[in-house]
Amino acid sequence: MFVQVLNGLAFGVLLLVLSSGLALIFGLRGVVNFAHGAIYMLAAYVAFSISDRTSFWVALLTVPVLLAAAGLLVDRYGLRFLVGRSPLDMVLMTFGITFVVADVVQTVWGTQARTIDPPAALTGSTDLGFATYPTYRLFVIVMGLLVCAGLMAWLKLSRTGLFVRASGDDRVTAGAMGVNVDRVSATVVALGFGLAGLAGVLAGPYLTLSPAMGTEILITTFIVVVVGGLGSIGGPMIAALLIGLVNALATVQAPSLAAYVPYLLMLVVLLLRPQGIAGRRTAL
Amino acid sequence: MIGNVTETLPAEAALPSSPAPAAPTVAATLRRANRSVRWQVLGWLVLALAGLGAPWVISLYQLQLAQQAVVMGLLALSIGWLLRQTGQLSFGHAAFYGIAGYGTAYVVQHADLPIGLTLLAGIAVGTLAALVVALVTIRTPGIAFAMLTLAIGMLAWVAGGQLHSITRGADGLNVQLEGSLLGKEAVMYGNPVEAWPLVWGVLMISMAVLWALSRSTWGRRLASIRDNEERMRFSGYATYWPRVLAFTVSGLIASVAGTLNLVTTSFISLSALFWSTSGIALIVAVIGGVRSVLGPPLGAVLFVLLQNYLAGSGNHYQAVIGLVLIAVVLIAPGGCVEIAERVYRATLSRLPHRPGGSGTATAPTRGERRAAAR
Repeated sequence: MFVQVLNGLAFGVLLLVLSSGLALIFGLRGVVNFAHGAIYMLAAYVAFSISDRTSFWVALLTVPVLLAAAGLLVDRYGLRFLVGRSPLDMVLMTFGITFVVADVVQTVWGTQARTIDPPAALTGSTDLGFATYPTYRLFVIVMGLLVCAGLMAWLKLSRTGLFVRASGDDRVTAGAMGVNVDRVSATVVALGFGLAGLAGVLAGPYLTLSPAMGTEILITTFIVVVVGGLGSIGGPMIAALLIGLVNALATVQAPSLAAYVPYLLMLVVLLLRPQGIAGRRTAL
Repeated sequence: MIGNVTETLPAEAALPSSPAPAAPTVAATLRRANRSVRWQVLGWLVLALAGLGAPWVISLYQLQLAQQAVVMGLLALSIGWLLRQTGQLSFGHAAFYGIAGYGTAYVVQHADLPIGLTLLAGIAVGTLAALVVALVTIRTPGIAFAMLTLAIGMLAWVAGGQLHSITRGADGLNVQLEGSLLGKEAVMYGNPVEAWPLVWGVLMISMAVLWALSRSTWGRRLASIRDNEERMRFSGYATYWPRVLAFTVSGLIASVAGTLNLVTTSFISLSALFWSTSGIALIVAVIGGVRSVLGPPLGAVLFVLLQNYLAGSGNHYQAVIGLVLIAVVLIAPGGCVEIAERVYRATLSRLPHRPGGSGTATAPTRGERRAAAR
């Protein structure tokens, strides 16, 4: 039972990192990044190549930075042109990116499934007193929670975080008050891509790498964000852990229904509370 | 792309609602609108008849490709029409396409109905699924709707994988159709030459129906709801049921595409339900242009040609189609139809002898479109 809870936490933390990036970008650019899953997949494959040649730790540090740089480019040469157009245009653009990335991954790494070996320090299991649990997954849980705590602290305490929240609330007013909204947005898109990159690296040694991994997790992340509430950062965080836990418990308790559980949860939430757990923006 | 659809539709550009300062009288603009309708109907007739002659002009292989393009074009048409009419982006139409296909296959195997009824039953199952989805999701705004339909589409895919006894999963299902359909044995429709009149006819009729629906009172009301739902509600119009109906109609066309696919290929597999089926159809619709019913089928033709052309060189069609989509969204949000329209207007304004009035009428419209694009 404890092991199941920990499994749920590990998956939930992965969703947490992904969905907070997605929610951040949505707040600032008003776009749901359909390329989020593809970026996550790209990160996992790049991490595979880097950790093959050097070490996992190098990959863990460099890949998020690389993808953050890619995010800057996407924001500067893509999303910024589309400000003021229908948000669906941005959705379509990120959807186009998904296809390009999927093709690149299949061309460079092929379609067979791969795994990243966890670093030597994190192999094996740890005895927690009540259960023994794979060390690497514990590392994922700790790492993910630390990153999210850092993110929340940055948003609530720093000056840039204040600008991010202000621009997310009201773009025009924030701009009128002297906030460089374009720069804040670029920072946030880069951060979102970087978080997706981090999730990809963390997932590498724990899930299997395949060209379908991006879509699979993207759908679950969408469910998390819809359940948590579009436009909120905290809501998806709660929803991510909730869905991770429910998923893990359902896999053991009702294996035949497990695949449906996230969808059912989403339907129930939408029927009872269409704006999600903490959503404030319903009209878009 | 969504906001200014009504103004720039070729047939509607001259309606009283559009701000055309050069329009002299209401009667004149109405007359011009009527003339434009007549030209469009005539164009449709010419296209429909010309298309029937395709088997005599192109080779069997090309006809096969054309058939693929028509099925994809129908699916794209259903998605594109919904996008244009309600402003809602659906990533889940593969569900209705697949459910109609599997539904037809199921009826063929388990019930001894005449072939016509079998196909209708299959289409009905897909449409019913669309109705149910519409009832739940139609109220969710903009982007959340896109995410929801994607999730529901994938739910259908997951369910399809679990119901292995019915769907046979990734191995696919071979279906033997029996009986006589429209004067031919159903098996004959496996041959593209025999199937072409049916395939082409279904496409042309669907286009005509959707075009007519867009021009009906209901279609205009949908467009108004798309532009300002709250205001329509305050004006005393129902905004829920018209949209549910629009989604269902769109699902009906997707179901027709699914059943048509089954009739012509006698085969369906789980990939029909996968999200990329709707994703590609959506891309095709956007590249072709959703403002006109011509756009999505045109996009499908371009896609099939491109895919066929790139098949030899390592199959990079995904990257190419993705880049084309990005370029279209950034440069010409109206897709091929908009590009064609721009070229047409540019040529018209350069002609020395232009018909009276139309030259002055196009100038503000062009400026307006530029302004809207910024």
